Amino acid sequence: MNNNLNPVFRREIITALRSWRTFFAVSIYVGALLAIAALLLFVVIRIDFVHGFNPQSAITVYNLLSGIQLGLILLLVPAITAGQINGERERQTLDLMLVTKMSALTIVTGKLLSALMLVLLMILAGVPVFGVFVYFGAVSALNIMALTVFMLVTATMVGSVSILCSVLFRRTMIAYVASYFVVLALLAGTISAAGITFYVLAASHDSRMHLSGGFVPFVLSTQWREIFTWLMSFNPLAGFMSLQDAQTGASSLESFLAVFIFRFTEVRLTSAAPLWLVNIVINMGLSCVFVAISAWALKPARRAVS
Amino acid sequence: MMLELVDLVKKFGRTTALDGVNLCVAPRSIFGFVGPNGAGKTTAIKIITGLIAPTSGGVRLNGEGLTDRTCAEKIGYMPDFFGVYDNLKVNEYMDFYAGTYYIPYAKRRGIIHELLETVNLSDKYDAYVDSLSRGMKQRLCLARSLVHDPDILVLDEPASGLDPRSRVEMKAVLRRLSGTGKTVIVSSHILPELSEMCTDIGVISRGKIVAAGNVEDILRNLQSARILQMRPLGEPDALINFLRSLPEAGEPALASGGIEFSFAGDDTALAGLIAAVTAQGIGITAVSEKQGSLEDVYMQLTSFSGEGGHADEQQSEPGI
Repeated sequence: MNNNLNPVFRREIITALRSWRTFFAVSIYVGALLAIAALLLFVVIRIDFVHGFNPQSAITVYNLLSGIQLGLILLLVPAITAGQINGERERQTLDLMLVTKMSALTIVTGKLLSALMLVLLMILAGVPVFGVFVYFGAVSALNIMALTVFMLVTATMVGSVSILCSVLFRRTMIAYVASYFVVLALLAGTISAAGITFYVLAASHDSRMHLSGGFVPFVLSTQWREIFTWLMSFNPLAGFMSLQDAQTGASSLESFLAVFIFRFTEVRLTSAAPLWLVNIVINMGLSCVFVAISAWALKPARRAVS
Repeated sequence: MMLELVDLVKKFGRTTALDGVNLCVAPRSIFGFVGPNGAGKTTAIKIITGLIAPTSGGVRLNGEGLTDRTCAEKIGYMPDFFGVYDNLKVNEYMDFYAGTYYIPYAKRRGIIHELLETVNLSDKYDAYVDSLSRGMKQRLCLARSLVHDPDILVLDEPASGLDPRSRVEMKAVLRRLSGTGKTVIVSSHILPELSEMCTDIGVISRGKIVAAGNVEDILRNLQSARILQMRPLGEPDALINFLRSLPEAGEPALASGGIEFSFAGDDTALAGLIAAVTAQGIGITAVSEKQGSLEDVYMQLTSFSGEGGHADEQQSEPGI
């Protein structure tokens, strides 16, 4: 094993490889992914095959499967990560690490990588399953690669939020709740904020809305479209839908926003780069910020006085 | 290395855990840190090891302020808990901590073998940590705290919860370590062991140092009167009556070694006392001076300990 590895990560690898749970979890995940893919492909293709093979069927299954994977990441990562630092506290090993030459940043990154290891392993193990869709002509290999990168970055961002919660909240249960709250805020909070902004803007633009009690067509100004785009850039789900749209040529994100949030109103996002790419960059930035804050908060002892 | 605590103050909210602590630990000494529960021992130790910051004052090492780097390099810390990973083998556990000090891999194996030998755990090299007994885990933790060869070793209650054999073994290891030139700071409640082992002590109570220095000096200074024992030849009544007539002698009492009484006088006065007793025709077979124990001193200095218990119990920083 590489001896230049982060000591915390190295130790976790030793214990994880010793445990059957890692292999079991990855096997179950890949098995489930394969089973779902096989079932969906069988059902969808069988229905469509009456009229000849339609690649759109494989695209539908691909979208569903990748959606399941994103859902698992959003659920699983906080559950694994939010107890990491508190676990060390409860085991009374955190102080022992803090007195060593390791920096708090090394400890935080080590714990984050250890927690993400299982999820990363699952994502990477799932790549061959998604490879089936290349065979069916639904997506290209490059698309699978982009999806994998997106999932990895999203998992890292959610993990870094959870590790920050684990540092800040000494009670593990509160750390879990806080982590899920942040994930929920990113998913639903950004959409809600965009929706509220839209309604406030629309109401101030045309008072007839209040009088009629309904909604009138309202064309968003470029400035407000940019605000919406900015808000959506923080939303992993929006990023994911944008990626799917880019890969399959659909417009599910804008349809989703138009139908569910800005009812009856045409929505156009104005990002110069694809939203999923912006999402990846922002998530990488957020991960760095959360990890840096975690490291700063982990070691409060500052010897200013002597 | 000389370690100094200078005007150390630590407050947790309204509670003052350390109230202007000044202490000097001489190089190569075994320093016993004594005090009742909640006196502030653990708080002081955590400040020394850099785990918490003082409200004011600080720690100096050879006259210079302690930095994170010097703290990690020069100080080894063994807390009053094990802090072990059960799913690791002894050599992996040691290797992990060697890694945390960035000790080159090529050197690690030798260091680990040497340290396990020091703490008598060589035969447990490949054993899982969770298979070790409590005493063995404690010694493993001691080995861990030595992995970077620190100059100062800080041990918080190293013998707590150990059986007598494990305590004796731990004491022997600490003596061996002090023999190698390390400065050892030990906090403990087991005073007889400290008095046997330590060259210096610091007694802390309610966040203040109430006595510090060489063990013998402290014992001598704190004893206002000498406790003497005289063994009379025959019945003790004559000796007891005579002692009662002397103003410098306290109330005599029968003890296993003879008649025990306090005596406020120097060696010349003691010689005069012996001469006076024999002049009375009272035969004496033995005269001895009873040594005060560290326990007596501790009880005397911390007599209000029942009101204490305010600092360590509340030392955790506020958190949700």
